[in-house]
Amino acid sequence: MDQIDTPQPAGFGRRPAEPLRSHFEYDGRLGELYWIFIKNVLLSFITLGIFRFWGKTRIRRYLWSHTSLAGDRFEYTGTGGELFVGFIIVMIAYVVGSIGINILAVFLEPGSPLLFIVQASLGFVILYLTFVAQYAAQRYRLTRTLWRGISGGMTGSAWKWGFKGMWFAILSLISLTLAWPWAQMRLIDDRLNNSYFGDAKASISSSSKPLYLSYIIGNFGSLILTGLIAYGVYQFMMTNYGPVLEELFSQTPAEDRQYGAEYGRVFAILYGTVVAAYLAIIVISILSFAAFYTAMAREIASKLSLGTLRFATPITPGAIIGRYLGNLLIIVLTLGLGFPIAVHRTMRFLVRNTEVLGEIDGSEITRAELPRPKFGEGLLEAFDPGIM
Amino acid sequence: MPKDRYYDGLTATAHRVTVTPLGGTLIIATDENPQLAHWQTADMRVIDDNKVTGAINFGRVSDPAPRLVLHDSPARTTLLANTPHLKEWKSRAAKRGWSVGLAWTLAGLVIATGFYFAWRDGSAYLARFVPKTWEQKLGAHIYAALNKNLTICRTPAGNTALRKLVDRLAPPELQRDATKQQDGITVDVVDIKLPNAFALPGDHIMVTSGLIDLATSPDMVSGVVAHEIGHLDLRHPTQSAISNLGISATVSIILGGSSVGDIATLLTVMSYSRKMEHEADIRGLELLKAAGLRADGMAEFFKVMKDKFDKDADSIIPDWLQSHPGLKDRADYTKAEATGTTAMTDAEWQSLKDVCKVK
Ligand SMILES: [Zn+2]
Repeated sequence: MDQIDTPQPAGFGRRPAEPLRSHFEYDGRLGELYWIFIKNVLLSFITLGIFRFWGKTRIRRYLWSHTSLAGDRFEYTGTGGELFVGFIIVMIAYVVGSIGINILAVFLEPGSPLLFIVQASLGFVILYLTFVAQYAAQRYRLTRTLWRGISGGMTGSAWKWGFKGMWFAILSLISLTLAWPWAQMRLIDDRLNNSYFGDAKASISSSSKPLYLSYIIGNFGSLILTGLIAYGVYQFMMTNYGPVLEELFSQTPAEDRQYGAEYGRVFAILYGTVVAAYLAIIVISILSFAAFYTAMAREIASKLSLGTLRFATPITPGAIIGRYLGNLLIIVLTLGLGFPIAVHRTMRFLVRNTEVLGEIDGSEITRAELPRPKFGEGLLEAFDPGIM
Repeated sequence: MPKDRYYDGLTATAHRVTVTPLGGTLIIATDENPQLAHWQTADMRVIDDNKVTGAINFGRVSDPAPRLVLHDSPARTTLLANTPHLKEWKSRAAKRGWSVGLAWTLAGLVIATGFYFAWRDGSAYLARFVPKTWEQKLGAHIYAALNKNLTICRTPAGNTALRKLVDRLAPPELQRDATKQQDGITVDVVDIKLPNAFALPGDHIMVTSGLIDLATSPDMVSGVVAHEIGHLDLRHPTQSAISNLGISATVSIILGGSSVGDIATLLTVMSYSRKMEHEADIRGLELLKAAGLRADGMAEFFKVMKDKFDKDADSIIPDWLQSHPGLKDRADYTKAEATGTTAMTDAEWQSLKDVCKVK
């Protein structure tokens, strides 16, 4: 046999008593990505948006083919036509459903309980389909990803998992979102445990415990802190400018007012303090969000296995903040024109924060005939316009 | 160690290979196995050309999985030189891209045109299958909505005069007939200054006070009423409701969001197509003649409307772009002899004129 032992980039050599640690590598170039992006924007414009399915495919092809593991590149085998047809199918279903609801609305009495049920369940249907879409999209992407001539796959039913997802979402709501970290990990486990590379099944049994600390601090801590900040702002304003504010918001006739000259200044201070308080709350939310997702990524990476391989992540809250906030700012400040920069940063972020532990061999992984969906992510397109 | 790789598509093994082109065959060999695989060059295709590494990723047409990644080498140069379809893969792919794009664009245009015609003519067809009871329910919704926002004028004499006119004009299937459980047409005068008249689903007709004020003879009113009965007789309200339903669905797709609450609004501003207006004009004339009434009032009314609203003889918008046939055209093709009886007696006409003046 002529299997290849992984060519290790310098610095990632084997340390004693530690498993072999390899990284994904991304060597895409921003200039090339921009060129694809610009062509996509122009063609989408000319074709009234229809080209975007092919454009998205082109971007994915570029990203996949510039990502490698153990010296072997990934390949994206999906086509724009598949995404387009998936979208058309969803749109037809949407038109039919929407006409049906309109007909009901016209022909049922305004107070009819059936109409109420239909309208009330509409939200649930959308929630349900959002989950179905996530599962179906993961299956599509896995089956369209090729590495060393072997493609990924996914078993299980998106429709069934959608019900579970919806039920868990409702449960989380009832539990005042306390069940959410638990529910989320269960749902992620389901999706991963149904995922394959060739005949190698991914396997995970994660725990939501590590998430709870940051979740509770994040959610309830920031709630309490928000209250404290609001109270602090109130106290600060009342002790320093109490009389002015009292007069400002009272019914005192104009001729009896004494502090008229100070209104502008006090108002500016009030405004500034409130803005500062808002910023403080936003910063706290971002920090707890980052801590939560760090805990989540670490838990998934440490519990996941694929064949003999295991995973790890050096991710930090700082890296998450840098990625999300950075991308948000780039896209907002450039009015969307910075999109390729955001994609490029995301790829580097993913590659930097995913480590594969163990000997990457692959000779024991064989091709598996898992169901291959014919159409692409129509539902996801309709319910979750993600960036990639 | 060779840099080039071969993946057989069966296991996730990366074979380090050297290749040798031999006629129409590419021999793929490893150190251990000099005959690892044979690929027919005619069966090969280029998947991708990596600018960073300079490697070309090859696949096979007959099997989607196996891959061969070749870096620049004399063997690859020979392969490309001897296999033009591989060398020209980029221009071929581009050509294919354009033709696929063109095919989709054409398909899209055909589908869109198909939808347009299916909708335009399909709604007329579908309208025939909508039961009258559905139409009445829809009409009740709209009528209730209008009733809330508009003042309806009622005087015993005025309403009787209008009622009598409608009864004379209505064809048998729109007559009130208790034995056949037909409710017939209801007609109201609404207090709106703008001269207009509507035919609503559920066999309702509304005439505005502005129209009655503008009319200089009862025959003009009878022309307009005949036109509206023509709409009802041809089931235009249902037809337009069907197509508006489709439009609202389409609009809600484009703008996003559901249009459930808006449907009533959409239907109240219901407008008929040029084709429907023309049909209603013709049907209206037939009804006038069948009732033995003077049919010249319709054309006269269009002339009065034209004088009032189309001060410039030619509108800036060409006629074929307007939703209604131009008033001049309509006045021309509805021109009729002044034979037959007048629609109302002087007393009836006067009471109709006063219908909104009595508070
Ligand atoms: Zn009309």
